Amino acid sequence: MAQYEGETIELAIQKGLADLKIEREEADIQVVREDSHGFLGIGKKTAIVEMQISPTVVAAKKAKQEVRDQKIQKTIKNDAKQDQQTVSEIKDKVAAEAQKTMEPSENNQVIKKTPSFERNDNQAIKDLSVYLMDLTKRLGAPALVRVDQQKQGIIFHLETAKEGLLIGKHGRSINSLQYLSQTFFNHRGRTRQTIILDVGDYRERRERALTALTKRTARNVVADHKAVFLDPMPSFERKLVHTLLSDNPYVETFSEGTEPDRYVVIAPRKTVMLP
Amino acid sequence: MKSAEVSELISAIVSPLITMPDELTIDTVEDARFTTYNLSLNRKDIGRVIGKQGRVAQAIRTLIYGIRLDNGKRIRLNIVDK
Repeated sequence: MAQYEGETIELAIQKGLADLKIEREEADIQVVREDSHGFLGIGKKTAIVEMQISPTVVAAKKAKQEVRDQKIQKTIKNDAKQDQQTVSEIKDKVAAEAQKTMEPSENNQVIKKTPSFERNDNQAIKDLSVYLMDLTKRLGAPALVRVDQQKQGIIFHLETAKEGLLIGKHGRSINSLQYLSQTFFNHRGRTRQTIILDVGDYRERRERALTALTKRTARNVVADHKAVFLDPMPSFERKLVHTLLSDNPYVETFSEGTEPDRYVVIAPRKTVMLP
Repeated sequence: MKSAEVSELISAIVSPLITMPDELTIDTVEDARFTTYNLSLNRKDIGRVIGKQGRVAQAIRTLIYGIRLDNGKRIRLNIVDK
C-alpha cells in the first residue's frame, strides 16, 4: 500500500490516482494524517493518505479475464466438433474481441457507451453457456452445459453432481437462474427466444408431478364442488395447469395473486360446458 | 463461502447483464447479523439490475441468500441509488 503526501487530502488523493493510473472508484483510500494549517503557519502539516487499487476491482478484472479464457477454450472445443473455421482464425477473432472490450476502458467515453458486442443469437448462446458454467462453478455446483434448440425454446441442460443445490427449495434457484439467463439472452440475442434451464431431468419430473397433482385436484374439485387454491408457481408451471384443464368441461382455472406468489385456482364450472 | 467469493459471484452475475461493467463496484458492510453488499453502478444500468417489477434483483437475491458465509452471518444485497 503506497503513501501519498499533499497540501490537502484531496491533493494527496489526486497525486495517488495519477501515480497508480486508476479511477477514484477503483481505489481503496485511507487517510493517515489530515492536513492542518497550524497556528499562524506554525505547526503546519501536510496530509498523507494510503492508497491501493481496490480488491473487488482486481477480483472483477480477474473474473473477466477468466471468462475470456474460458471463451477461447470453448470456441476451440466447438471448432473441433464443427470444423468450420480453423483454430487460429477463431483465436484471432477472440483476441480481436478481447481487444475491442479492452480498448473502451482506456479513456474513450464514446465507444464505451455502445455495447462491445453485436446482437447475434449463436454468439449469445455460446456466451450464455459460458456464463452458466461460470455461475454454477461459483455457486459450488460446477455444471456441464448442453444446448438443445427446440420449438418451445432453447433448452440448456445442466449436468452436475450437486443437483439439489442448483435446483434449490421448490426449484427457486434454478428458476432464478433461468430468469437471469432469459434476461442475458434478451440483452444479447437478436431474436426473441424462450430460455429454459434444466438440471438433470428436473423439468420432466416436475411436469409429471404437476400433471398428477392437477388431475387429482380437478377430481376433488368436481367431487366437493369447492374451489382449490394451488401453491404459488412460476408462470410456465401455471400455464401447464391451465393447459391440462382447458378442455375439462367441469372445472375452470384462473390465476390470482401477484408475482412471485401468483397461484392457480381450480374451481367448479357453474354451467357445464357442452362438448 | 468467504465474503470475497460472494462479491465475485455477484460481480459475475451482474457484469454480463449491464452495459457498463467497468463502473460496477461492490462494497461490503458488516454488522452484527448481516453482511451487506452494496452494489453501485452507472445510473443507466440500475434498471437492468433491478428489472421489471424488481424481478432481476429478486432472482439475484434468491441465488445469493442461500449461501452460507464462513462468518455465519446472513447476506443482504442493496442496489445503491445515487
